[in-house]
Amino acid sequence: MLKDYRILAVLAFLGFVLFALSLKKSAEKDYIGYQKEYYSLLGEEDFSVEIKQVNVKTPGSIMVDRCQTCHIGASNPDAVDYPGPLAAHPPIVPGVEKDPHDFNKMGCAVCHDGNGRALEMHDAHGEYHGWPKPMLLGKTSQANCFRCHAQEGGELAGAEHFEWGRELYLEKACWGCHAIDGVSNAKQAPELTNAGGKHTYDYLHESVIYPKANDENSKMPKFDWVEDEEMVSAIATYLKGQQVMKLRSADAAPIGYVKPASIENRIGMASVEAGRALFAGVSYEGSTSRGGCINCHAWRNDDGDISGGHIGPELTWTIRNRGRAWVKDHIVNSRMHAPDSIMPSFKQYNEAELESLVMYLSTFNYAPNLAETESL
Amino acid sequence: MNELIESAKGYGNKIFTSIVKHGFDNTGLTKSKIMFSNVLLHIQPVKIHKRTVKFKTTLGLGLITTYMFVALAVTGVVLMFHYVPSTALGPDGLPDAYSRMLNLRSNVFWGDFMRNMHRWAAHGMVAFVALHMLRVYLTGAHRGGREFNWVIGCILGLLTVFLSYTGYLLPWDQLAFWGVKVGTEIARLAPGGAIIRGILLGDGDVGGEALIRFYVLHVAVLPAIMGGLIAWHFWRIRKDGGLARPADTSGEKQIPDADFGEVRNNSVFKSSRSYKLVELVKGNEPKVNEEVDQMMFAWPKLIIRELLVFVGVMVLLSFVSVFFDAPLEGPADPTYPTNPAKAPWYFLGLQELTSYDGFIGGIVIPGLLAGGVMVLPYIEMFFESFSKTYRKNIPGVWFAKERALENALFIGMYIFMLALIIIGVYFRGENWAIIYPWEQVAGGGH
Repeated sequence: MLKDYRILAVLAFLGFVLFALSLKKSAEKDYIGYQKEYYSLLGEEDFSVEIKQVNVKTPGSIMVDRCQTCHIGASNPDAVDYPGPLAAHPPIVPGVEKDPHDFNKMGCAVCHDGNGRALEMHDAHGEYHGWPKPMLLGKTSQANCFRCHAQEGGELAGAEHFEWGRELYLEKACWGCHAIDGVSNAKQAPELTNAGGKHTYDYLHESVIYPKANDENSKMPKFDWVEDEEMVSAIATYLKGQQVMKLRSADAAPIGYVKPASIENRIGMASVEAGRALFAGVSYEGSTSRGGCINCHAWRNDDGDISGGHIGPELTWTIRNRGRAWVKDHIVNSRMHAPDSIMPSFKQYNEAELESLVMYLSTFNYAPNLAETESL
Repeated sequence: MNELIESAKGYGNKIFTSIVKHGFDNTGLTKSKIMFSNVLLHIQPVKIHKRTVKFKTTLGLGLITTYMFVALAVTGVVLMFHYVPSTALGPDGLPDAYSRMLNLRSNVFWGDFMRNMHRWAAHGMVAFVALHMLRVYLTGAHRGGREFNWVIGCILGLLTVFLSYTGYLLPWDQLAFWGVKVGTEIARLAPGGAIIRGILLGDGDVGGEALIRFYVLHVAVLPAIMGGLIAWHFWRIRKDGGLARPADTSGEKQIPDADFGEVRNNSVFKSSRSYKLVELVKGNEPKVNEEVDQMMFAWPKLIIRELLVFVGVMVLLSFVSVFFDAPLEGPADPTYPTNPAKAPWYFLGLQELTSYDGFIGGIVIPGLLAGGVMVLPYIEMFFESFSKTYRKNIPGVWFAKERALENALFIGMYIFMLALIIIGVYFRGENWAIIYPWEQVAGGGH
């Protein structure tokens, strides 16, 4: 009988220890330490440790944001040099005296994603299995500018990385196959209008570099420029910014959603220069028409040096072999000639634009030195 | 002044005796009264067989299961104060039910511990119910008048699984959604399963309606049925004559009598024992001449041992809950299945069978097993009656030689299910392909 009592006493003691541990675990959260450290750095003695919750107002409801419970110095200019999570946030808009972003109103998760409700670091940073919105850090968080700001309203100060991504999206001819509402309506590849709403940044980043990573049947070519990490990051940031769910309605947006009247600035006069610009995927004298042939096709200059992509056939001899009419048809509908072609259809080109391209392609007149070749 | 103190003492005494109507001396009468006049203790007999408190008799498995149920009820009520069974999306795009899980993990004091307790106790209860059933069968305790209690026990076991399963959906994360989705898709294969599934889900698919139905089943309907059946289960144990034991236990090694506490004799008969209580009861009670030596007062030995198991269970649950967090994945997303999508572990054997053949593996085999096990004592009776092979019934003995065949079959069934569950949990990866357990898997539950 005594043995029973002894076991019972030991178990009861263990029970109390575990009970105390469970209370301790609940009571001793990391943020308490952070807040104490913060106030001691500030030299403040009269303070109370509390959960700092921002209720971000969005149309119809509120978002819960508790990030500043740990990142307590985010909007305090004195806290610039404070360690780790206590430091002040660097300015968002360059060159203004007072940053218009008030963290006490908008919180952190609006831009940086993660889990706004959590108070434990791994939870809050969305580092647990299956969390749909892992944190966006540094430049990549510019993707979320466009949850509130308009994308079409021109350049947004402080969103350079995103703007570069937008430029690359046009230059690298992504738009030729993918559709984004208001950019292009190509049907050849998955639509990207809600790419950022559906997928994580990492998913998009990975898919740009290696298209077969998430879809084994993807026909998207693997481009050479994906070696450039900065470039891929910019494009992925741009794609992450493509979200249908906005946090601001048109009337409450800091910069409205109203799309500026689209200036259809097309190329009116055919010229070799316009063709060169289309071929390279850059804008010609402010025109909105884009090409980007060079991403897939290569050509040789007069010395025989080759440049361009290796995904499509080399174009050095195309005009000479096929003729101008054939090339025009091919640009509009490549599958007319090659049923398994993955080349996008550029059927939105007007006659002047097609003519410009053909004119530019006609300037390729490299011919191998036959005497030299024979001597080989 | 003294008089006043005396009056106060008298008044206090009256209050005390109005609540506790017995003393604490060690006479047989008091020991009986303690058991009789306490609402919690009176469901147990005043006198028990010495065997009852031996660890080897039951391994405490039934008690552990009961205490897990108690722990689940208490933590469950605490969680109910916070939980909302709603899939309405908040502004941050998270369903309400899921946001509550995030709150439990962050700003609700003790919330994570309560959720962990509830989660681990639920898994534990399913496991201990299975072990309890195995113990009962291997000791032959389902026979000798206890056949019907076995049936009640089987229903309780099914209810436990169903309770755990309905609770699995409530966090509304990917694990919950796809785990439940798998289960309800299996149900669709049964004849009439589509109707049952429709009633259960209230919709064509797992969604907001299913969450409310599962919630009501989980917090009200099933626990109420379960509580009633548990009471019946316990009552039958006493009416069937206590724990199963062989007819003659005189040869067994028992806990020494001294361990049950000293009993002071205040009987007018000056005999060392009181027969009165056992003499009054008819039926399956111990025979006075043969077994009275083995009968001891339940107070305090039985109560202490039960308390010991209770505290042990609480320590175990607290330990697991302090050091291991209950899993929580991303919010439920019906458009993005996890790969693999796994049901909760106790259904993974079923899912494994289903992956070979939907109807045979998902409906026929588990149906036969569950139904067969439930009426197992009657099947045994059937064979014994019609083949006239009356075997010596020896309930309460582990691995009785006479029951070697039955025991082997039953253990075989357990090993079969366990093997399937282990394959399902550890050896199935993406697209249900065979993998090594140490390979990384992106999705799936456990």
